[in-house]
Amino acid sequence: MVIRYKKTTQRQKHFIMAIVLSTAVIIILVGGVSTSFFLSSYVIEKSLDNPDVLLHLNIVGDDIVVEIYGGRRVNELVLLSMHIEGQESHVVIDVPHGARDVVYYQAASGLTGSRIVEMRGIFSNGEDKLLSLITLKFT
Amino acid sequence: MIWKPLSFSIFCMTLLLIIAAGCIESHDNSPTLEPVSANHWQDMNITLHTFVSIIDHEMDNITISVCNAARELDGVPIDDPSVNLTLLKLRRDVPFSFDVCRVDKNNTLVAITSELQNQWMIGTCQMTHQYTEEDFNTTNNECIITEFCTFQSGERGVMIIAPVYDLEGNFDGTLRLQLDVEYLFAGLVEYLRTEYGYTTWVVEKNGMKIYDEDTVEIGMNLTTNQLFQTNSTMNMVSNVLRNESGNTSYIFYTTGWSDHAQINIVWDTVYPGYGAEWRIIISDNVVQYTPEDRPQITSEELKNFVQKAYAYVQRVGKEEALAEFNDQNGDFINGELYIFAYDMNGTLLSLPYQPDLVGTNLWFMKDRSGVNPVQRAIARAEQGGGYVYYLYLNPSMDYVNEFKLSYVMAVDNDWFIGSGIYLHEVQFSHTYNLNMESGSSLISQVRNMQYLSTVENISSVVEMVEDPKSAVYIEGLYPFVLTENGTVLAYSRNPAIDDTNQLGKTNSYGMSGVREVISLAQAGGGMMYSLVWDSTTQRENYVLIYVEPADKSTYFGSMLILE
Repeated sequence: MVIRYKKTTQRQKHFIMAIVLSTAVIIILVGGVSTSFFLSSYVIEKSLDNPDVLLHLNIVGDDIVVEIYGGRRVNELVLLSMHIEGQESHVVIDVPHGARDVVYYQAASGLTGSRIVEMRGIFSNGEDKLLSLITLKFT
Repeated sequence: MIWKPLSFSIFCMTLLLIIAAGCIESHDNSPTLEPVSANHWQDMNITLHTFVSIIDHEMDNITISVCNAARELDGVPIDDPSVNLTLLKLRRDVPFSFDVCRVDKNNTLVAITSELQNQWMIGTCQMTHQYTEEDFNTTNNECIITEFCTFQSGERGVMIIAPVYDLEGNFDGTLRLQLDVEYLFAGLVEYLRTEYGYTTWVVEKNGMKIYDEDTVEIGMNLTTNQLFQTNSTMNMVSNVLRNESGNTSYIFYTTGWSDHAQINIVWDTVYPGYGAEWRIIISDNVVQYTPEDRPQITSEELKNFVQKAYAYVQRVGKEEALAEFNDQNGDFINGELYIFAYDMNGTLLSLPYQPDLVGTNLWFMKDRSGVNPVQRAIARAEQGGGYVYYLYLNPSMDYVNEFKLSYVMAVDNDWFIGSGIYLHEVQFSHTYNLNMESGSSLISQVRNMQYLSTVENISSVVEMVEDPKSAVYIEGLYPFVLTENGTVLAYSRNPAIDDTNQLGKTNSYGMSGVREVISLAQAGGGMMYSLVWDSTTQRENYVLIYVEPADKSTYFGSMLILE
């Protein structure tokens, strides 16, 4: 019995190769992007679950009180930087060694509505790390 | 021969039966019903008749107000500005109302008093139930009163409906008022308890409980709910629903659901409107407060207790922490201190003394003054945390209602924890009796400010606030006007702070009353407690405040000093 087959041309081979390569690139790109999303949220979650420094924020009048509850690196914490959504600059204040809380005086002055408040810690080795990301409702 | 094995078998079976009978325990540990003296029934019945006549009178006033307002709307085009004024006036005159609305003959909502929150509904929203001219043909000019239901806002109550006619006398839709029956009865219950030593619950003829001091029972149907399926309660329910009046005794849970006791009740019936038949029950299942020396836990100790719980949550995670908080024998029970937890939508996550409530949504739970404790706690938690006041049952004092100071902390954006102390040393904590009249006046005054601002304008009302001869003035109440950024436009108790910003002002507990008032007003308004500095007496006073929005950026409120 003779097996008949159609011989593929060079052009057809290039076309098939292009399709295969394009599909592979798309899969790699999609996989890479979703992995990076997963990893970044994983990193944030892990870092807050097992915090370097555990914080809690309260609005008290026009002030924002940051309570410090310990953490793996609390003794290395030297500065706290706060950024409130809608404001241009971060506010950085010293953290005295062993302090149980620090107060950002007048940080909430005139603020209304809900805003995301980001707290970053600056450690003795110069490292700057996100410690807390929470939504506070000013009114 | 056969008799020997047969008799032996019979002997063994008999022995087994005797042994088995001895092993069977009686599961019925409930107390048995004791006879009740004629004097006790007589005393209860006298109280009942007084109470029923008050309710009759109150409901008469309410339904007359609704009917009169409907007559004012007869022949008025639905887009006429006077429609809104009529609705606002009715809402002012019935402080136990949530919303008042006008529905056209096609069942479309055309005007509503909470317009700020519900603008999107006007002209588009079809009401759940359509009332036609035929519905009113048999009412003999009475308003229709619906069964107890849940409104679109999530609040619960009954709807009072009156027909509206056009200039030719043709049916032109309805006027509808949502009545807060819980608030109506809560004010009366306080009077009943302090004057007579009884409590009350109210049930529709279909078995739906529309009021109980234990708000958990509101909305339960006594004929179907598992709690009421013992022989004793079923007999009681059947008796109450079958007979317009009477008296009986039954065995049921005591306050706090911790034990069973005999409860004696008398009842009568009111017919507040067409379609409504309410059984008003007077019950002697009341725990009276007995003063005793109790050490007062400080607010600082309270805060430390909650902070300890917060650190614990962060260490062990949510699931393990909640299990520990719900354990009555766990490390987070210390006398009257225990940890409660809610998500930010009001679903209960932890409450060790009332575990059956875990998983239920308590967003609309109210205390006797009309304050929503869970909403107030969530508002504070959303600020990160802090102190909050409300009335609540004290499990370490037989579940007597006491004034409570709680401290709450947000764990994250989704849930919070808290604990509270009962303020034994606060003078009014047990003598305080916000009677129906003063609570109603507080609400009416603020709603009158809303009404007047629509008739005239907000600036005119601002001037009226500090004028003792104005239409706003009520002795003993202190109205104010506030902007969304915390500027006081007028404050009758202390005009010196007019035009100053008080957003950052705090009391001795670090509570910013103004921030809380603004939050409450932006949520649609309501009741709250606070502790405010009084420049007249030069000290802090506990106050009850009622607020409502005037427009998107201005808020009306009034304050009643509680001590």
